[in-house]
Amino acid sequence: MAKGFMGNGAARVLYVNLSTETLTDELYGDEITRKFVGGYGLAAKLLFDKQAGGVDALGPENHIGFFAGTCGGSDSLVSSRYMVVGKSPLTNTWGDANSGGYFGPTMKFAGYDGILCKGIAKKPVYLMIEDGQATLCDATELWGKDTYETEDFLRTKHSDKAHVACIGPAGEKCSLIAGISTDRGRYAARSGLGAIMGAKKLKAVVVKGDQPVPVADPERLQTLRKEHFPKDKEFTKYGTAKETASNTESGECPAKNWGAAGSSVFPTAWKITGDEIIKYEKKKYTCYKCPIACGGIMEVPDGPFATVAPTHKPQYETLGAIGVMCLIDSPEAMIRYNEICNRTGLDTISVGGVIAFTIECLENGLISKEDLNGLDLTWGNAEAALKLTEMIAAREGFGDVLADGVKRAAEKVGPASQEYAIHIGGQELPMHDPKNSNGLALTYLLDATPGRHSQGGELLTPPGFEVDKVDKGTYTGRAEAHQKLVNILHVSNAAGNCMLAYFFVSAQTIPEFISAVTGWDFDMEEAMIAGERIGTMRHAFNVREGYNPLDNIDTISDRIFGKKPLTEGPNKGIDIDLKTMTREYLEYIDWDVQTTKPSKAKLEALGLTEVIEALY
Amino acid sequence: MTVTVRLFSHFMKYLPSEAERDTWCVNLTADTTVADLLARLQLPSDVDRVITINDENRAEDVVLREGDVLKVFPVAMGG
Repeated sequence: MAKGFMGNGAARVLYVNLSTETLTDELYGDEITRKFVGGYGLAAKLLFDKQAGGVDALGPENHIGFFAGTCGGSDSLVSSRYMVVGKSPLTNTWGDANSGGYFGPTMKFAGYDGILCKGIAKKPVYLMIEDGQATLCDATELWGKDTYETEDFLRTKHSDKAHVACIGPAGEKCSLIAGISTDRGRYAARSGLGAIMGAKKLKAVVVKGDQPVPVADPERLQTLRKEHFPKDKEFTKYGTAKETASNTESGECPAKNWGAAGSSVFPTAWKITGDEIIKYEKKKYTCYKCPIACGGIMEVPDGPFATVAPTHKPQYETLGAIGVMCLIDSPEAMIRYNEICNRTGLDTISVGGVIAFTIECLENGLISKEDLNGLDLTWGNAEAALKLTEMIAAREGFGDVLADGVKRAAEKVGPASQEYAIHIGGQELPMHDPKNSNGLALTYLLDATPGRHSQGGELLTPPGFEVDKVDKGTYTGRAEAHQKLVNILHVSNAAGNCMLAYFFVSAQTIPEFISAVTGWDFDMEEAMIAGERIGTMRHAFNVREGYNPLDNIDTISDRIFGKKPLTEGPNKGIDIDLKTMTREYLEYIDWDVQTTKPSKAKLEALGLTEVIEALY
Repeated sequence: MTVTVRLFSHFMKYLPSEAERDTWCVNLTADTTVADLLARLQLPSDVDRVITINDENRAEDVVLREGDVLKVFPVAMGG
């Protein structure tokens, strides 16, 4: 296989057929990468082209892809992220999940912008890529090992300069809420993509290389980096952990399985403020060349929740999911929870959701203590919640029912449990209540990966980006702002940028950094069109699957959008006017207001003729 | 009149030293608005924030009343 680097926005993608053990390269010139901004935009295009609709997400025809950002591996400010893509076995829609660390940049140093794997290996394997050379290696002795053990083994064997993306036992057992770990617990957690690796018997991908990423205009890149270097120190100190108590009080963070909001139901929320969490931080953790460095490595030295090994700092989503959702106020327990999920390979958001679901099922007599092997699972019982987490990872007892997420668990428990199953399209919701941040309702419902907070919308308004602000409780007039925010996030994701740094660096720099790295004359106007193209391509994948996101409205829990309004707290009485919001938005972006199929005229305007051929 | 003021997340540092964690009980003169009080605390006016009084969203020109609980949040973050 050829060794080399493309640069200037062109891309080299490795195709792996695990069934036949064939590995081939494909090169993409900057005409196609620019159209989709490379990175996960290119991934959306390739997955649409290379895969037929309706394939089994855990079967051989589905792909699992790993794509570094277009600016990844360069000195661009916050571009460490890589994206995992595939048809999600959790939602049976387009699936993606994003992680920082060093894997994405190192994939580029090893000679690739992306990897797409299909087929199913005959026995466990891992993919080794070193300086442009890719090989499949036996992973039999790794099967059953947790993510820390797997990574340690592979880095000891190959090099401590290698970086690893791998699954734990949960992914091996095809848990539909399994994620993919890198750097001992940085996670591409959402969409259940770890289950695809498990089904394919692909234990890990290892990348190693030291060749620099070509940059079209290094001088301009350094100038941009210096000019826009973020100065925020609060975020460096706490990460998003500092938001949990505040977001609980404001009603942003759902409490008690979305059955409540505000601190009246969780008066000890102050015990999980950022200061309480970072008491256990032993050292800082920084993703590749990130000037913010929001991460940390934690240890709980003793007690019932002592960590087995140093583990990543739980951030807001994790703290909300196991803390506020389950009314657990012990930082030690939450840190240990993070370690269990990170080692076994589970999504901390989804697991928090299934635990809260189980507490309510038990409380309301839909399941018994015996169903839980005698576990005394109640609100606030951290020991029981952590034991259940281990049962989910091992698919032990009722953990087997929960390991595929709340939607499927509710189908097994029965119709009376539907209200407690907080998901959209099968994906457990993150820790942002659209009754507080109204625009998120559109994101949760209409993004190609349902139930995601990190896919754009009013929650994520970056500095330097002008959009009309709409007051909470106003459901009309949101479409234009929502589309702009979604479009810029797609471009930012494709560049490999971190969503969190997105709060501190002007959005106007996003096309500037992309231009400096690629040499394209890429401006905000082109970014808006390219972002819309990426979002439309992801959605077209779902239309081809026969998925209509509006079908979720009548099947999801009435708690989510306030059809059954809360009776107290900051979100009291709020019932989101979803009908107005979705109709206005779909009309604005020219998708059918009933089927959500993009119009032919819109697809033509975006240059997506391949989508027209597939859908019309 | 007495008003309870609660500032959250990185706004807590603007509370006076006599505050207990995130909560400060303060005596105010009649006709004090939210904006007056936040200016007194030197909370930067150019930082986006969400204001609630007694858990209802309110604008900054609202006049505070006896027994009000004023909460000030940074715009929601977290990922």
